[in-house]
Amino acid sequence: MNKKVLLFFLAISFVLVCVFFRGRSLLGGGESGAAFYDLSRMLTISGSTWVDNLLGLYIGQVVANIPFFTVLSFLQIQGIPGYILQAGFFFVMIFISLVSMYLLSREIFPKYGDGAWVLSSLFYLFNLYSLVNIWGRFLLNMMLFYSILPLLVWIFVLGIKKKNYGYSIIISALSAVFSYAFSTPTHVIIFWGLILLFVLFYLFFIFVDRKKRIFLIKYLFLSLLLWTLFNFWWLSQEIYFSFSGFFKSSVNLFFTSSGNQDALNSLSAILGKIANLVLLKHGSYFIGDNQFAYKWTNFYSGPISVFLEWLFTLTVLLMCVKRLRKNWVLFFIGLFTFAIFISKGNSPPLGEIFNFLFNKFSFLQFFRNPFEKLGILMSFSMSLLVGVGCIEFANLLPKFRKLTIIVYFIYILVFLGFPFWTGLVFTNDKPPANDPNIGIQVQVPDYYKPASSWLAKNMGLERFISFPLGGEGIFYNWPKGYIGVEQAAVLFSNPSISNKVDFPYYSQIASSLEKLFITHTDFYKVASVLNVKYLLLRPDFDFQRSTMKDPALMNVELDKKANNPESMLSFAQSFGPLKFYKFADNVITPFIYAAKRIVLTDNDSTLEDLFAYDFQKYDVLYPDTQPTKNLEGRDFIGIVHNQAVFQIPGPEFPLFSLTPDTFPHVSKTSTSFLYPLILLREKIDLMFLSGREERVNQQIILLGKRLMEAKKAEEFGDLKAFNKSLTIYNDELPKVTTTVDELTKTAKAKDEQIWHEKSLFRIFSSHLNLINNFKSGKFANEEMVSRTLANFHTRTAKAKIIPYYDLLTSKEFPVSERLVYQFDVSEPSDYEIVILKTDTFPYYFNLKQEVEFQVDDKVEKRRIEFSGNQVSFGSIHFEKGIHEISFNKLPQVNTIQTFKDFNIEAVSGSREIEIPLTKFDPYTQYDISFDYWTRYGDGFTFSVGLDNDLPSKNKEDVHYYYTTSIFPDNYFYDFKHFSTIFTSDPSASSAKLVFSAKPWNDCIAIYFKTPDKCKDEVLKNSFDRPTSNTIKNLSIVPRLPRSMLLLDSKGNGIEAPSVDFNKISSTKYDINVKGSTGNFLLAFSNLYDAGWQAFIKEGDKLVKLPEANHVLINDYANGWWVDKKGDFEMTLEFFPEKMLRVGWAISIATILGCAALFAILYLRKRFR
Amino acid sequence: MKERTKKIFGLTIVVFFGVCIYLGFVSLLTYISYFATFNRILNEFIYWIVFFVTFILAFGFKIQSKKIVLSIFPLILLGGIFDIFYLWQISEFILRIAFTLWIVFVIKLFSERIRKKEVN
Repeated sequence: MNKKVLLFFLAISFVLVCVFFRGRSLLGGGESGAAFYDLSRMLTISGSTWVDNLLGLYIGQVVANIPFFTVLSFLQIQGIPGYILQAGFFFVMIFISLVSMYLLSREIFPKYGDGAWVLSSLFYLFNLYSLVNIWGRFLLNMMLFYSILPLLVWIFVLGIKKKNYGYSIIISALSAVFSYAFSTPTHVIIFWGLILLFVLFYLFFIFVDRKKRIFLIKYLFLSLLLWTLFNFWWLSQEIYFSFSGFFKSSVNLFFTSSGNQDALNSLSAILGKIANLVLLKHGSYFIGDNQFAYKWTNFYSGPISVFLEWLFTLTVLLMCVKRLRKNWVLFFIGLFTFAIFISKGNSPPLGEIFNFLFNKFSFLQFFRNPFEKLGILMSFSMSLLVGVGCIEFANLLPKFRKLTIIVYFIYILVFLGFPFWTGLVFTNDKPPANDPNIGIQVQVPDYYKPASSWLAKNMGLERFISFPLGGEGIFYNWPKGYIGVEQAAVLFSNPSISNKVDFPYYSQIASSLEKLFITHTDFYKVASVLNVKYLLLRPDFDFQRSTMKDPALMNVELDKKANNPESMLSFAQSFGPLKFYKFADNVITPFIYAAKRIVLTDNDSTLEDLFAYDFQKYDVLYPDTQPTKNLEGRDFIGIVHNQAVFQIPGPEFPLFSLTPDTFPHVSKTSTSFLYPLILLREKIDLMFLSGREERVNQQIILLGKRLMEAKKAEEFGDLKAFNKSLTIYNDELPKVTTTVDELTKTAKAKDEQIWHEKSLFRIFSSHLNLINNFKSGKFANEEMVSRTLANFHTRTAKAKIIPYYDLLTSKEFPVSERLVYQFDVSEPSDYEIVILKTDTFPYYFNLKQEVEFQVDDKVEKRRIEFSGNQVSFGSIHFEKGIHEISFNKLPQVNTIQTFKDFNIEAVSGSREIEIPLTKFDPYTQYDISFDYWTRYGDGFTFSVGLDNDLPSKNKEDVHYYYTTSIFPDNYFYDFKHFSTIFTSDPSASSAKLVFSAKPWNDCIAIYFKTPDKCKDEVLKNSFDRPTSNTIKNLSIVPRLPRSMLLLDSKGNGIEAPSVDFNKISSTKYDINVKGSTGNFLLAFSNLYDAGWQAFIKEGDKLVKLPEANHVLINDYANGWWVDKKGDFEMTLEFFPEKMLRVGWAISIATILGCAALFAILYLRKRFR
Repeated sequence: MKERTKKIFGLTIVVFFGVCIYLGFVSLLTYISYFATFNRILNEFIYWIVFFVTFILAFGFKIQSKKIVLSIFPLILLGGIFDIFYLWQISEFILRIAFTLWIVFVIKLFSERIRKKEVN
């Protein structure tokens, strides 16, 4: 390699690293976090298949990070600061990417000279794709993959050219060293896909000789085999993980094919535009109003910049097309075309091909963001074309050849490279990272190290919970800020629940903890079950931008509980602003224990169930979805949750609304000869609706159409048509309710029970009304009517759209606004009907001593009893099946006592009236209503502001959680009524109502041709005319809680054996069981995973317990039914760890074998 | 009439009727289905029509790939010019047509190269 070029590349790498790390701080944030802060901790996290953090976790491919973190953590232990190591890592990546692209370009286009090769290298580093999606994206493994991709391809090509199998060993060895780059399956697919394309090209376009072709095929398979064996330790984990129950549960819970399809549709529409892809540009990054420093990203979307980008790209492509007779130019033109085709996803042209493959091959679902994942191929192929294209263009102008090449260098180095030279590439649009002097630098405060050491000393296997708890991302208020994934796993060596990241079982628990802590004094019950010893208050973040609870209020709450002996909590230690609180030792259950009492719950079980009955240490929540055979003949406590709740508006239910979206116009009945054509047209209509939501809406309209057809047929006395329409209705209804179920999983709003809850309720209650009318119509005695009604009730109740039972009335129990709770009881028993107390219930309800309610098809009258933290409505026997309990609206108390009627007037400037809500409960829904009259002027805005709303920069730019504008009516000049149901953000602590009005102003209407004149405040204000609104009867009343329990608390404890255990490693525990009387439930407080296996020691043998004995308990943990008497030993082991050991053995044996082979060949060559 | 003129005349008629049939089909679909808009159908189908017509032209009539390329670059240039002036919708439409032609061109080039290699 040319020494000058080498020095040039070294200089570029060095200067860039100096620019990036000029602040002598780590770079971090985004999904990579601050990995270089504590590399030993990162090694611990990656070093084993089971990670102790959160509630324990298995992510197979993390073990691919072992070589990377082993080397770096070793260097950090030697005293090298993290930021120096990170700078070194960046230096290596930049240098490798430059050198390897140079070598690959030289190998493929040997006649073009240094100029072309260097241009290719520079373009590979500095282009608009790498700027945003590689370096700007700041995923360390993606950066490393991007850097080593040309290196591995170059070695592979070298092997083909030299016909030497030895190169396959080098590729495999390098892949093993840089295995971190392959820690995501998409990179493996891209790498081997690219290699395969090279091989096919050689096979069909270059090699004519049969021998060469055979060599090539052998070489490919040898490379693949060796690569697999060298990387077997992590590859086997990745494959196992893809087939594991945990992965499947994750995918089912958080992703669906239809969800992926929706993501693909929207991302393809935004990022799949040909105009952007040809220029390697991100579809939205460079346009629009943003907060980047100097709005630098918009520079690349200015007309001159776009002109330059097109000029450059077109000259390169045109020159390459001119040289198409060269095989490799053709190959890279083809590759570039293919890369654009797949990177645009399913957007036109011909996007249906991608869509078809995406739906047929599940592994392609990884590419639901095709531009981000597959765009690497565009950058790779274009870089190689750039060298050829630029030099060919320069050759066209022999007199200005040098000047042309210099211009190209300037274009790449200066125009494309300026975000790199200035460090802007590592800034983003959120403060403080949009400050070019700070960017994504991270400086972790000093108090974390002593806090972590103190915890390590004082904690065993227990966990701690960090409050306030937020989502996966956080905005730390550290000296240089931090925007990225929450970092407790790196900052502390002990496991903690510090975010609500989406993992099966975990996310449901994590998202409930804050509410349970705030609403329950005896939160220690939850701590006991979760094996939590400490609570951490961490106030060092921006709670409003992180949409988390105000840490100051959380501090008050923690201190309050620490001073209350009932909470079993006390202050323990503080480090800087961090404060630790400790639970009393006697309340925490051990990590492994034998259950004393079983609490049988259902699928909707939450840890709140622990507060519904008299909780005792060693109790276990046992869902009825698990095998219940072992519970036969045993006492247990039973808890059943309502699976749905329905708000019935009043006596008019089921109401009939003749709107086009419910019952469209019908001109023909189903016996008309045109009817098949009508059905065909409907099918074509559906075909052209691509979105599932659009399609199901249309299907619902068609259901209404069928009922209207039946109604028309009834009017005409056409029984055949009547039956036919209802038959189609019955056939189509299950399809709709199934799709509604699917949409509920992916597309429902957060305060909804099901997708489009309200409109579905309205439409289907109209359907019910019409079907009920058929019961008294001409064909009342037809079997089809009763069949349709039964089918309707079953399907809509199961889909949680409409209650199953008709509403009953009596003199004492008229139908007013009713709340219906629906239950699915699995164990027949006498159940107590219970609603847990909240901040608002029952305090804001005028409850009578006795209350009437409907249970299934009977009206009951029961005495209300208040005890502890619950309100009881008495006991009733329930058989197995669906049951419904409905209450008339209970009389509520308005939480607004004094400020109910007022005027809001704005004469000059805006006027606001704020009404703080006293005793606001963020976990309760509120009915807000008032009457208003805009006497003159412009109406007003009604908002609900929360304490964790984003702070506003100025008065005009206030972000309220809820806002609606109320305009004056041009016809009705009197009081009108407004009402809404308000659901708060649960992390809020306080709320206020805000009414704001502005003066009426017609400046813009007058100056409609020159509206800019109205930017002059003085001129604009001269057009102000007063606005006046009157508000009266303002009312904010809490709603009844949406959850109700059926409680069977007769269960007694059983005698449990004593259990001692010893943690061998994160993946192995030895257990001693003493005094077992047979068949007990062993609880293991790690996240449930099918990979955990339990063994009983019998002599020297370990006998595995059957899979059927392994159950989910406490909503997250592992449990095993153990049927053995007396004293014995057990072992719990995580199966993937055994696989890892086998994987290591295979990889190391292959590496040693290859090294020995190399040594033998070398020695033989030498002594010859 | 020269052979070449005949071919061009024939092609023009094929393309004309192709477009007529296509537009008739689109109008019919639009008429019978008031939910599917004209633009939507046009958006989905036009590229397929362009693809198949170009494919037939390129392979059926043995038109040289260089000629297809020559028709693509002015289109890309036009698309680029509209992009510079922020006329994104029209730019994208033109570039999508150009990319469809480009795909045919690349397929044709690869097929020519394979044939050449077989001949050699």
